[in-house]
Amino acid sequence: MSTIIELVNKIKSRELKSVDVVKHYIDVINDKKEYNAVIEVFDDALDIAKSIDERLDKGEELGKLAGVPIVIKDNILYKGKIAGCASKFMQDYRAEYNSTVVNKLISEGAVIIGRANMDEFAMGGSTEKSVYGPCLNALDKTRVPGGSSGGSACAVAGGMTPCALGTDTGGSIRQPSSFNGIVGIKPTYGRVSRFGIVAFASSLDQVGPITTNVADNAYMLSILAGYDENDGTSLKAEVPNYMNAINQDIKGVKIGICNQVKALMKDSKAFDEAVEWFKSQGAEIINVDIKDIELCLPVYYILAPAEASSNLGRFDGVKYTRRSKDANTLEEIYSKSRSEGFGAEVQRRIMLGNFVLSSGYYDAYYVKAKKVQQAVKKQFKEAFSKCDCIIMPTTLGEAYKIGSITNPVDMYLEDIFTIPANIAGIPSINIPYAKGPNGLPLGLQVMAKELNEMMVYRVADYFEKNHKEN
Amino acid sequence: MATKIDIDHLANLSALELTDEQKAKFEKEFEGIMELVEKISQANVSDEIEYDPIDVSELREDEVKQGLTQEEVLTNAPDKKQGCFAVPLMME
Repeated sequence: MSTIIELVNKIKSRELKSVDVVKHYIDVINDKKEYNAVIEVFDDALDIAKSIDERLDKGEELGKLAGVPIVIKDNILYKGKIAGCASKFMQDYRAEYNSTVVNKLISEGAVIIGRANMDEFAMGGSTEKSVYGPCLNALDKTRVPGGSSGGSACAVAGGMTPCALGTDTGGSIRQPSSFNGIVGIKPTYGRVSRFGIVAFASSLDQVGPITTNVADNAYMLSILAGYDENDGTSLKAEVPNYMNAINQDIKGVKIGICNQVKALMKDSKAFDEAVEWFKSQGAEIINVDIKDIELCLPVYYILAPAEASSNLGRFDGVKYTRRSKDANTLEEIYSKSRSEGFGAEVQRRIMLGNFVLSSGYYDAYYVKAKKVQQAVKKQFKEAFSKCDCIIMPTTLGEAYKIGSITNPVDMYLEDIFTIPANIAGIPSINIPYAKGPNGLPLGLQVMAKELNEMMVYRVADYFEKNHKEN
Repeated sequence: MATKIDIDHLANLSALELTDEQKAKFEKEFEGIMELVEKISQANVSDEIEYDPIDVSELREDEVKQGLTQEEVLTNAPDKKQGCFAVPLMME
């Protein structure tokens, strides 16, 4: 498996042709169809690769991803292509315009080769709730790949693409990256434009790259990040070259361990070993308190459904492809189209969202959750005044068996370690750091204060290159 | 004691039509979900923390720019007539 950086260099030097690289990955996708990770290979991918080869042969400069194949999640708009959100409602929807991230990829010469499976409208943690059927874990076909960006993570881990884009509202990049033993970042909220991403919870959603290694990830984020006038929440801060964080040492870096997180771990042996290892490498370990971190989970399951109930109001049977054939009145167009088009998890979250926003409950749930969010943000800020980054596990354990979690609340509880970074709006990366009892990967998160992706990459890259597990 | 959910009311607010079987299933699942979200209604928050719903993101200047064309906007409409989204007659 080649890294993105190797591919970029080899295609640029003409040692490799983009068309051969793209063909290789499409062949792997076709060989691994049973994983159900990439649900459509775009039919123009090879032609685009050919034209890139022709232009490179003529000596044209084509950008930082010239000829490199990339897969995008099914909720990212690419003009003329279906963006189905793994939903029955949207499975025929063709994007009328490009998302900003797709424009960035294209302008750097990338070849977008297909779209990846996901949980319907990004609501879920297992990629079992997809209109295309479940996606499998790249390392164990009997287990879930995580979610909601499960197809993106499985595609990268399974060698179907060197990079995939995911979205992360409560852990949807980091948790599947953890379950498949690869690297995925949720950048600072507002770091990457959300324009052209089908919205789930707008105040929490972020796009991020999923890759096989940290350096590739830093390379990709340097391209994807940046202000976009089409996204009102996009940050104006300058984008550093994240590659400067690669191959640095970590002597004297203050690594925070959250006291409250330790109490929530099922088994802390692997984590304790990692902490000791960081200490042995010259990092300083600092214990920090984020008193209300456990409340992030219920905060999330109020705020995210509240925003989703509003965002998904646009799917009304009038504008987006699907209208119930049994609908005769305008009201029936709404209710029948939505009931037929949305799966159970989406319906559940829309109703929960409407509940917490409804008269009589709004102050007790929604407003209160916004206040607890402020408190948590403050606690993270205080913690980051004492340390440079915080590490914690990404998940409670290894990838679980397909079909083994059926109760929605049990599924929600799985997100306990990933949600805090979304609630606080801070960057967090997943890197594989140990093996679980079944020999499957366990992931470690490295988080830092707002816009300090540099620190996240520095610590993650150092671990990846120097720890014995890797 | 968790708040009791009126599933018919929520389905109505959500523009969803549910079968009796679906209603029973959601109702049962909501019991567990309510136990989770009740933690927030019961949480202690310092009085200093305020929530201002008007505190939204920065707004840009309102200026005319080329957006999607009428044709592009209608591309995915399930029914359209004379450049408009078409819906059944609402009034006699």
